[in-house]
Amino acid sequence: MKKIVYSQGISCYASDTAGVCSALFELGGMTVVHDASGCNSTYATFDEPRWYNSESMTYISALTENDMVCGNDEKLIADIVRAAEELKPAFIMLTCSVIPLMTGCDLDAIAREVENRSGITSFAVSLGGLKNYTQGMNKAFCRLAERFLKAPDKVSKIPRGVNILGATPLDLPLNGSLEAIKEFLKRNNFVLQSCWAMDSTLEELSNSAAAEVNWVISSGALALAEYMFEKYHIPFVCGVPLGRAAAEALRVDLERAIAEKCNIYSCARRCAAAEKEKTAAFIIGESVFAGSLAYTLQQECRWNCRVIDPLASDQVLLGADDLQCSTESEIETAIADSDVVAADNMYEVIVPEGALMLKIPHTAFSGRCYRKQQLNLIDRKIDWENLLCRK
Amino acid sequence: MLKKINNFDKADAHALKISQIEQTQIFTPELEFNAPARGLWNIVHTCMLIPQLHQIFVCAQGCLRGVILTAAEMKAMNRMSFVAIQENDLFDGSLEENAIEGVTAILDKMDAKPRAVAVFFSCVQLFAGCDLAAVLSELRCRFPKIDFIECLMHPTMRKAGLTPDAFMRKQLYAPLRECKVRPRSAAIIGNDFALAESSELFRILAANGFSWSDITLCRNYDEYLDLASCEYFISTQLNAKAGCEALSRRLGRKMLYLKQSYNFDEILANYRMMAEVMHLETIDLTVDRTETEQVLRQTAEWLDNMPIAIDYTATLRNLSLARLLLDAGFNVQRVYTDVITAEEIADRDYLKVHYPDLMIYPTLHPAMRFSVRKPGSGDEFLCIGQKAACYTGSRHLVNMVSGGRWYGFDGIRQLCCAMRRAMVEIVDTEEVIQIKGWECESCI
Repeated sequence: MKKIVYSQGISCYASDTAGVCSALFELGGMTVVHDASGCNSTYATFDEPRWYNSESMTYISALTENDMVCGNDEKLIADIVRAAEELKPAFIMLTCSVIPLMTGCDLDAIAREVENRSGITSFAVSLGGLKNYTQGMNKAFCRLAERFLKAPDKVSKIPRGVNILGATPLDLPLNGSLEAIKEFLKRNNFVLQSCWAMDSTLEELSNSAAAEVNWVISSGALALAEYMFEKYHIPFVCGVPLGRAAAEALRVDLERAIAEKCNIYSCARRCAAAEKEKTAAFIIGESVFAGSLAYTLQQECRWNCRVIDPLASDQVLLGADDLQCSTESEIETAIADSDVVAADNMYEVIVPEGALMLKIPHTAFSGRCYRKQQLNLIDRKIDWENLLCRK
Repeated sequence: MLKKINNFDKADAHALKISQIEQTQIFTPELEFNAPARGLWNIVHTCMLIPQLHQIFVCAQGCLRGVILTAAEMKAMNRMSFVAIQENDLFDGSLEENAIEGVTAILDKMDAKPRAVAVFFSCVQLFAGCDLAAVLSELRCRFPKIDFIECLMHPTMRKAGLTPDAFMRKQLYAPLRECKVRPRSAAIIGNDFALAESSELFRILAANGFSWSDITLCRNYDEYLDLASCEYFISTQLNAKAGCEALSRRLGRKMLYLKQSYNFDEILANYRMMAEVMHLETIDLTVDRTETEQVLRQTAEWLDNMPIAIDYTATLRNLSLARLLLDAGFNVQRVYTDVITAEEIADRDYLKVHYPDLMIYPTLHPAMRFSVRKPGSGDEFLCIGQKAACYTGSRHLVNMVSGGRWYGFDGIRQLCCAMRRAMVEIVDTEEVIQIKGWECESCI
């Protein structure tokens, strides 16, 4: 029987278009979402805490029924070229909602035409607002890398140089978390080459091949890491330094990846001994974050932790016992007998009675509802038990 | 890397003097910027006005997120559910079945069933030719005690037929059924907020022995259904007019469109029409008019030539308001609006002749991204409307959306009071204007 995705009390994750916009927000480009007037409000309101105080050029095409039915691509092209001539973006990214996807709008061809007319590097991602934000991020980062990355022979290698891949406010709260990640690198004598894509310029990103290792902090950048590994043989490590245990493990993994030129999925690592522990804990969320948290909680609290990945991540990011669920009822069933659930606050409605909850607001899920309660869990001693609350 | 907002010229270059404006579409539609001013209500806010109703959106993920989080921010997630459309649903002919089974599964899980369910379909079902009537018919068979309302979130159709907002205000009254008429009763139709009872509109109704109802005052579904018993239906908002007409036609009632206005003659014409249609005694509003003129004069003096900016989110009659204030001696310098509604053409023509230098600014143009000013950087302005505050950088804000609760002569006097308050008060505009749904509950 066909699976119908429905929900009665929880949110849905930010979509691919939000992932595209968020990934490219700070780079001086122009991102155009081919969608109806007003539909950019969702991204601007809920998904983008940087919206008010920036001059990032993220726009909507104000698609109308007539233009879609009649295939008026010329209007879209002319509008973009006119705006680009005035505003001079560093590049142009096109993405679209479900209607252009359904009617077969060829965004790649439109991007080529825009580039021909404007002389500005242009590219497209067409996922139609039907996928998760992580898939939009992956595609956007890869398109950018394909067009802007300089080959290793054009840049000087930086010993212990690191690129952070996958930093967006969708996963990383604007509460000092990114600064703490950078401090973690510094403290361990690594050198930050670039951060895809917060607090770095397009020029810094284009020199990413100078790094010795890529550090993936969100599944929204795994494809970029794989691309750079395949093309430039830069190894990568996947994980977030949450608490002390995951941070220490990541330090070791980054060293090893540089030394052995191997890829390490730190977030998929679990402590075998913890499986015998009585406390059954589930961590629901983005897989690199959730897997890293599972490892830390196993180590620091001695809980038997399993990840529930609602974002259809690549399996390599998950532990052997982790689950992938795409519906509210699947998740509710999976956690029915749990003792602890670590997840965004909005999951509380499906947490079983009597279970304890570790509430970790996640912008990609609950938007700005709990922004003031967001936690900075990066590379620090955390009293996890103290953060628990009973449903 | 983020940069400081500092480019003033790009946006100012697109502003026009009103004397230059001939078309109702002032600025050519092109790429659009979304200003961080969130006070206007959307279809979720409006639909929540029906008590004991549950909303179910059947849409793609990208479209769902905005409405789900709108409900979450207004602390109404217990009244919101969704069915997500997957990519294969678009091509395998299962759109109807998925909607039926998804809605059924949601309702089956509910211990207490809602009295009404608004099922929202989106652009994609309309483009794919999804049989919405069949979906609703099947749901009505499965849940005969629930009123199902067909609703649409179809922003691609924004420029053809009823706008999504106007369509919502029509469907908002779809469950009302024919019933016995309650003599000397009126219902205000299609407004988001209850109008202030200090308005002369209600004084007139009361003086003539009329009672009145309003969806915003209904405490439960039965009170909402009882709106159908009113003898007259009144709308004051342009985007509610079509819905009021449809409801009146369907139930065989008389309707009045008493359009919101800041023009004394139009206000008086509204009341004359009301007296005629509702057979009221002639009303003398001389005192109201005189008092309003006096308050306007005093307020203009009080503001001492302070520059004023108005935007369309404050009122769709922004040019009418600008005209009133300019005639009364206020220093209105800017109006932020992208289009001129049919109701405002006479005001545009008047302003072109009498105040040709009044500047009209776009709100959606791509260059407006560079016009979002740091709060406090433009405190010389007094702003009526959130977008005006956003684009001028002023913290002197009359925080009013869709006309607020104010109507008629009383409304103008209330607005003057608010302007005097705004002149002396500093508001944290960055915080205030980003709250969704003016006067709705908010968790942020």
